[in-house]
Amino acid sequence: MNWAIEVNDLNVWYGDKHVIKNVSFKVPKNIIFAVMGPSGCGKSTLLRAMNRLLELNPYARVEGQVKINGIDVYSDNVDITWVRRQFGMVFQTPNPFPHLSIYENVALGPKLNGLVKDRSELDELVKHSLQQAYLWDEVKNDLKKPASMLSGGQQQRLCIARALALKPKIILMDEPTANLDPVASSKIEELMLELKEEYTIIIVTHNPQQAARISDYVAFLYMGELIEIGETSMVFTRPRHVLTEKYVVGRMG
Amino acid sequence: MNKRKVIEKVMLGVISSLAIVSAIPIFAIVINIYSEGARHLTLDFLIDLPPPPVGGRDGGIGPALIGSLILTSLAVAIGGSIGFFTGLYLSEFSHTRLAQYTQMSLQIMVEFPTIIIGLFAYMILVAPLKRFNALAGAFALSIVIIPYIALNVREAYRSIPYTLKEAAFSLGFSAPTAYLRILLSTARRGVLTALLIGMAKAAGETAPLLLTILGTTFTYFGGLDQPINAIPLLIYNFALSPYERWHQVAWGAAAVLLTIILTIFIISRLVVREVKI
Amino acid sequence: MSLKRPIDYGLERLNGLMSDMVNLAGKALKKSIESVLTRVDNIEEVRKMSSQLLFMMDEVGELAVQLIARFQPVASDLREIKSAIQVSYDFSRIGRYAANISEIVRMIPEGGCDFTKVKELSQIVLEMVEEAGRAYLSKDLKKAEEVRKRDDQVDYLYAENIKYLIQMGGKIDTACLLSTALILRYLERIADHTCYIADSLSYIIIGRKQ
Repeated sequence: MNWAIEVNDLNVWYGDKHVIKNVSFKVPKNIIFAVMGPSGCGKSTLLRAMNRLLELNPYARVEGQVKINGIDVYSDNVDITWVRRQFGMVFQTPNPFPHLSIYENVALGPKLNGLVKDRSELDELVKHSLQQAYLWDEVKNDLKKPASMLSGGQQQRLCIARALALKPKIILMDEPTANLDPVASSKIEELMLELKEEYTIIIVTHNPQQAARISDYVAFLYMGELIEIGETSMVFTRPRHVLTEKYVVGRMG
Repeated sequence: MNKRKVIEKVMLGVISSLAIVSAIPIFAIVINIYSEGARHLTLDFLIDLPPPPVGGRDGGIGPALIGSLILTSLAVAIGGSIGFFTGLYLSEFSHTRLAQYTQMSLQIMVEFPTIIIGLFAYMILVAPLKRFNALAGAFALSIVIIPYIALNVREAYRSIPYTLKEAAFSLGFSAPTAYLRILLSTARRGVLTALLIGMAKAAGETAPLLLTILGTTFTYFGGLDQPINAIPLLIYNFALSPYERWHQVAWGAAAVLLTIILTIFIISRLVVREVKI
Repeated sequence: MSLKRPIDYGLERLNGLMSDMVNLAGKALKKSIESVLTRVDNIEEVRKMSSQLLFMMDEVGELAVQLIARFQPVASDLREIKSAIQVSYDFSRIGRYAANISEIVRMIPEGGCDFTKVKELSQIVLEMVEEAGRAYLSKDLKKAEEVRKRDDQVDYLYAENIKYLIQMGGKIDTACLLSTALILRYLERIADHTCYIADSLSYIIIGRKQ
């Protein structure tokens, strides 16, 4: 069976605090996989444990396996920058590099990682990525303008294009619409439904309705533990665990 | 009008006056120096050898200017690079013991009496060579500016939003690329300002030069192991002399130094445009 | 941006199920009438189609509930989903009546019966079923209106035919009499259900039954 990513017995500590407890799951390819749970349950930590971005935090300690294509990203002979390039990541607050233009934001990754041979290939890659993010038509005449001039929703789509430019297999999204207005949010959600044709998307959300709307599989994380995981329609019509039921109907906390 | 409003207005008046009072010195100094020294700001003055105490040509501050340029460049080259990387380390590895001790040391050093730094440079570089030399001066100046640059570079990097750091690393860049190409661009205003102000300090500090360079007035440049002059030192020596002619040269030198400092300051505000987050 | 809403993916699935039901109900009715008119025993086949329609009704119900749980549908989306639940029931009833009609074959006596009246009414009702299905799938209000009009005609014919049978009384074989009466009854009920389908379409499009 071809899994996009397998997580086996993952444990994470911040200092002495045990924040992810024995989490294991497998994510099939080309689906949207949502991780939902109340604030502080560890969802963002879990996401960053996958692309090893967690290691930017000097107090974090990880045990367990995260496997993509059979390779454990935590094994000793794996290059951490290679690991991070297998994933594209989109963050809660849109974070394009403010001093770079729209074009440069998307081009930076491929250029500095040596993915393209010449300028015309780079132009083509930038255009394709912006098209995939449904931003091309809005910015094609303004590629040299600074990224900070875009609206919030456009900036987030720019960040998606930037992530796609490295041609990752998996896209990690950390509450990507939490800081956007409803119209911009629905655009991003619709975009995700299209992107799953080509990529596997793992999204962390604090909004169970969002998980219900767009995901195929959903995992419910509570205080660092994986309480339930299953097909979204099942989890939202017949959750198996009483905590899941409480969370989705809004009786938690 | 009730009592509270009156008190508010009085307080506002007092605070505004104090603000004006604190801004007065810089204007007073600028006006004072330029009124005495601006007439000397000619090309000849910048190039010529200093005049004899009496008689002869009017002369200039050529050797001191060259000396200042050399010492400042050296100090910024050494102090700037060490300071930059130290500041970067302090920001990004702040959790280590080394970073914590270093930061504390640098915060102390920023306030250090610079004459003591000059004395230290004397012991390290003047005594063994048995003469005053330019290298000792540059060395002393570097030590003066390293803490300042390091702490400001640290602030510049610390003010980068964490999410930009995450973005840079999530794109799979190595640490050097992330810190030195991407994040440096984001922090460039702070870093450049730190370097420019460090440059201004190196150009203007006098105490570190007193015990290190001697202040020879008649050669333009004899080598790093030889004595050298610098504008602040020239001002000191000439102002204390009994010769009116040398007093004039000192005023002119002061005007030159002030112009250099103000120019650096203006450049640092204008050239690096604000990076809008 | 012409991207699909999350709920659109679900509504497409729902429409697909409804379309299958429309086709199957039409087939079942056609088969049952054909078997009566040609005196061929197709009971098993029609019964299978009827069970299938029942199963599909459950599927539609389950899918509708999932769509409501996942997408908080409002307005026309919500009405469409509610109507699908009702209309799937209507089609499952049509399938049931078709099965009932096909069972009449075993009642027909050796000599056969004169089913001209049945043929006439069944033609109309079959057309109504197909029209109602097409109208529902293409959300065509005018077509639905026509279905409703034809129901008047069906009611009239039904009443007339029953009167006729009562008049003919002993002159017709009892088995034929009962067969005809039962088939006419089932056809009349089927026609009623097509009207309910037209009503549901109205509800989706303008928010109330006409």
